[in-house]
Amino acid sequence: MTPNAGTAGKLDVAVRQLRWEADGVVSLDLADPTGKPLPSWEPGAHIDLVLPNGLERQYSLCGPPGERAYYRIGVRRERASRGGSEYVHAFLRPGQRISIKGPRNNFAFHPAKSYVFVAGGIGITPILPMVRAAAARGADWRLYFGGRTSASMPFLDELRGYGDRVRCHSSDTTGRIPLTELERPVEAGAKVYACGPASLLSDLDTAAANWPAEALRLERFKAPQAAPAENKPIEVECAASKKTVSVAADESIVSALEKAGIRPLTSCRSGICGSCETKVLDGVPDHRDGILSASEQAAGDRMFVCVSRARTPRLVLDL
Amino acid sequence: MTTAADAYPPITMARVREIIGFPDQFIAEKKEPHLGEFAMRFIAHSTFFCAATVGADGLMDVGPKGDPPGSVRILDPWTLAIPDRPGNKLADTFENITANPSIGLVFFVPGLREVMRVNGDAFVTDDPELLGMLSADGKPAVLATIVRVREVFGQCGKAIIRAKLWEGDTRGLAEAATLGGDFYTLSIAEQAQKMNNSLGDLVSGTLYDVIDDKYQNELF
Repeated sequence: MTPNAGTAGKLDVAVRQLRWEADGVVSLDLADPTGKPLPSWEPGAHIDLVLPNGLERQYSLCGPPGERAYYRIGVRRERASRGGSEYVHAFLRPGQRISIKGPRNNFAFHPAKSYVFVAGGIGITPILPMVRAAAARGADWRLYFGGRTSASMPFLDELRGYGDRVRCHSSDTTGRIPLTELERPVEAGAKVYACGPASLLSDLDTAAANWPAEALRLERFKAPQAAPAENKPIEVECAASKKTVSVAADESIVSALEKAGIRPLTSCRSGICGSCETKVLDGVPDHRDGILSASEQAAGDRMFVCVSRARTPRLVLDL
Repeated sequence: MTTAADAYPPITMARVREIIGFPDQFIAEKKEPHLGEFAMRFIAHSTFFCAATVGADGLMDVGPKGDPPGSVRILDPWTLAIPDRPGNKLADTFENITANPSIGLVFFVPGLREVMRVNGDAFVTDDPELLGMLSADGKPAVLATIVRVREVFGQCGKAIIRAKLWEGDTRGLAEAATLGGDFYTLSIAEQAQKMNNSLGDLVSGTLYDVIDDKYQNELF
C-alpha cells in the first residue's frame, strides 16, 4: 500500500481513539481514514496537529516505536489554553477528521550504551518511545519521571512494567526529582534525554555542568524566553530567489519574507517545531529557538527564521 | 420633517399575531438558560457573529464581528469571553455595555444553515491572562467582553438558505461542528426530555421530513 500522501504537506487523519490517561491528560490515536500506513518515524518525533479552529500545535509521538497503523499523542489541557489543548479536550471526538503535518524530529534518539531519561509531566510523551526502544535494544537505562501530583502523571501503568528502572516522583507524595543524584558525571558514552517544564530543564542544565559535552539533549515546550534584547533591523538576502528583504526591528524574519512573497514552511512560529529550518550561507544568526544545542547554535550553518534574528547586519539564506 | 416611514401606520402585536399566528410548543419552549454541549460546540466553530447592544440613550446598535473559528471562548456553561481586536476606537459596543449590560448575539458557522443565539449581560475586562487566552495571530486581545448567559437558543436555517450565504465554502467547519450529524439531531440529543415532551412523535423520524419540507417549500 502507498502511504497516505495528503495535500500540501498535510495528512488527513481520523481520530481513532480518545482516551483519558490522567487528570487533565488525554491520549489521541490518529489513523489514516482508509487504513493506509502513516509515514515512518523515530523516537523523539513530533507532529503538527492542524485543528478545525485553524490552530496548529506540536505534539510528540508517544505510541510504540515504529507503529505506523496509528500515531499516538498525549495532550494536557492547559488552564489558560489559547484554544489548542482546549479544542482537543472539549470538542475533538472519535471519528472526527483533522489534518496533521510531519512527522518531524528535532529530538533524535541516538544509539548509546546507557541512557538516563528525565521527564516532567506531559514531557513524558517524547521519552516514552525512547524508553521502549532502549529496553528493546537491551541498553542500560533509567527514567526519572516527575509530576505535580501522581494523579496527573500519564502512562504510569505502562511504565510500571519496567520495575525499578523507572523512578516516579510526584511533588504531592515523594517530592521532586532528586537532580542532585545526577550531578556526578554520567559514565562515558551515556546519553541523557530530558523533556519537561522550563524550570526542570534549566535545573538539569545546571546539574549537568560536569558532564561530557553533548551528553544532554533537551526538548522544550517553549523556546527559552530571550532577554528582551533590543531587536535591530536586518537585511536578509535570499540567495535562491535573488531577493533582498529588509526586516524591521519589530517583525520576524519570516513575516518580512512573507510580505516579500517568499513563503518558507512554518507551523508553530515560536521556535519549537523546526518546520522553518533554513540554511545560512553567510552572516551570523542570533539563535532564539528551543531546538538547537549550544554547539549546533555555534556552528551557525542553519537557523529557524520564525524567531531567530542575526548578530550581523546582513544574513544570506538559502531561500 | 416627514419621511417615508410616516406613510405607514404601525400595527399592534395583536394584529401581528392575527397575521403570523403562534409558535408550536417546541419553538415556544426552545430557550435554555445556559449553554449546552452542542451550543458550546457550535460557538467553538463559529467564525462570525453579530452583537446587539443598547446605548444609554436607548438607541440599539448591532455590529458584525469576524475572527478565526473558536475565537469566542466558552469559559463555562454560563459564560462567554469575546475578544476585541484593534479597531477604529469608536467603541460603540463598549460605550453601550458600560451603560447597559444587555447584549444579544447571533453566531454563524460557515456551511451550517442554522444559527445559535445567545442573550445575556456583558461587561468589559482587561485581565491579562484572559487577553492572552484570546490571542489571535500570536497577539493578545486588546480587551475582552465577558457575557453572563441568560438565554440560548438555535434558530432555523431559512434566512441562510434564502441568502445562499455559504455556497462554495470549503473549510469543513460545519462537519467539525456537527460531527457528521445535523443541527436538529444534536439539539434534540442535548435536550432530549424537553424535546420529547414538546415534539412527541416528530422526534422518532418524521421531524427531518418536516424540516426538509419547510426548507424547500416554505422559504418565501
